[in-house]
Amino acid sequence: EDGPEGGAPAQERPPLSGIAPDALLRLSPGEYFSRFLERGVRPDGRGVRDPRPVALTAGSIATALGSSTVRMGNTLVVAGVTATTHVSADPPAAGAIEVRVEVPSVCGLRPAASGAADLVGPLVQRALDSSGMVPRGALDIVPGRAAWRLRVDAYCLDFDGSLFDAALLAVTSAVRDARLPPARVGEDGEVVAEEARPDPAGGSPLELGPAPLAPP
Amino acid sequence: MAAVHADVGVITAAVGSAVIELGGSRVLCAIYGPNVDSRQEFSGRGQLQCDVQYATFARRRHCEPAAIAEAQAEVAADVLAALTPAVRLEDYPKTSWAINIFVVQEGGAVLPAAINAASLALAHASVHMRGLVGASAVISTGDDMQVHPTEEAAGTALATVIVATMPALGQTCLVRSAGRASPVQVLDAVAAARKGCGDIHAHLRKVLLARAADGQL
Repeated sequence: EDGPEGGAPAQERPPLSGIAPDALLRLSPGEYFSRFLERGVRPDGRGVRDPRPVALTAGSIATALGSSTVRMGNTLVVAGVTATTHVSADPPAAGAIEVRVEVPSVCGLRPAASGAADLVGPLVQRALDSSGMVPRGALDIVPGRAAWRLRVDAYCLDFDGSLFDAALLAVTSAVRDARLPPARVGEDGEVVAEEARPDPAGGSPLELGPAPLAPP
Repeated sequence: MAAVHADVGVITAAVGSAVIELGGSRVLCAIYGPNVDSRQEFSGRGQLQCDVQYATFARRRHCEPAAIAEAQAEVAADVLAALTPAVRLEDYPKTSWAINIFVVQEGGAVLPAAINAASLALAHASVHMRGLVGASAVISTGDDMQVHPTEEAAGTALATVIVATMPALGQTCLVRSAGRASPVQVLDAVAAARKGCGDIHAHLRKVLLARAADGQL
């Protein structure tokens, strides 16, 4: 076989015999992955278009208004919903959902995961806002005077790529799982601005459209 | 025992990991290391570091960030106090192990769940230990005691006692008591907690042995 030359075609690349696969992965990741992709497979044996198994469990966190745990391959994201009542006449109260994606210290590969989370957080926020999943008015308590402000916190607990997909699925399914308590009304007949707590009687789901599955 | 649920290997990127559900608290722990800190002076003994973070939705009653930060720091300090006697730090000169904890849900008492998670995760990581640590909380309502209290039960407590032991060695690693109770009630609570630690220890041991049998340790 020919020795290595600059610009040699891929099929004639000499075999790197004697190098252990995980050493090659560290020394030359591009080379490592090319050798799989040329044959149409990934290192874990999947075809290039085959997704990893996804597991989703919703509603298991009793202290949150809504929750979801998503496992996508080895990536693990837990999302929970909290809410406050926002009371305002001028400007008129409007509902909102704030999404945060964080990487706590418990997560491995934290530098890589934090970098991904910085990009993924705003992307998931935009995907949710632009999808129409939560229609204007769905968060109103008293239109124009009181509305729900939701906060969805997604935590990446184990990172193995696909953070956007896992976080988006966790956030949207947590919102769908959310059950809001009845808003408390004060003596003056006005809604009280406060943090919402899970309703022992169960609470009411939001009226939602279909969830987004792709970046905006 | 139905009161506790434990599993290992939940966080695949970590050297060792565990999840514990106890008394309505759900806590994850991941172990990272051995880490070398070249800034530290040479020490013949290794060190443990602990970091605790609560999810924003972990508490049913919302608290000021300062209160959460204080709770996180207290749990971290107590986890270190409970686990330091158990780890053979003399086997790890000039290195440190990181015990990173995430509280998904806070029930009656987070600290025992955190200690159990750390103990199980360290064992899963094959960190050298003198013994597996089991921790348990007991609340006293004056007339009655309850082991592994839920959030609802803890609301009625006059005093709370938390104990961590190494049942295999018959040694106690940590005793924390808060609230008001007669000396007899405190001693009774400690005794009940020690028994609770033994029950937890048996369950943690079962989980580890099952994993070892599967060849996953």
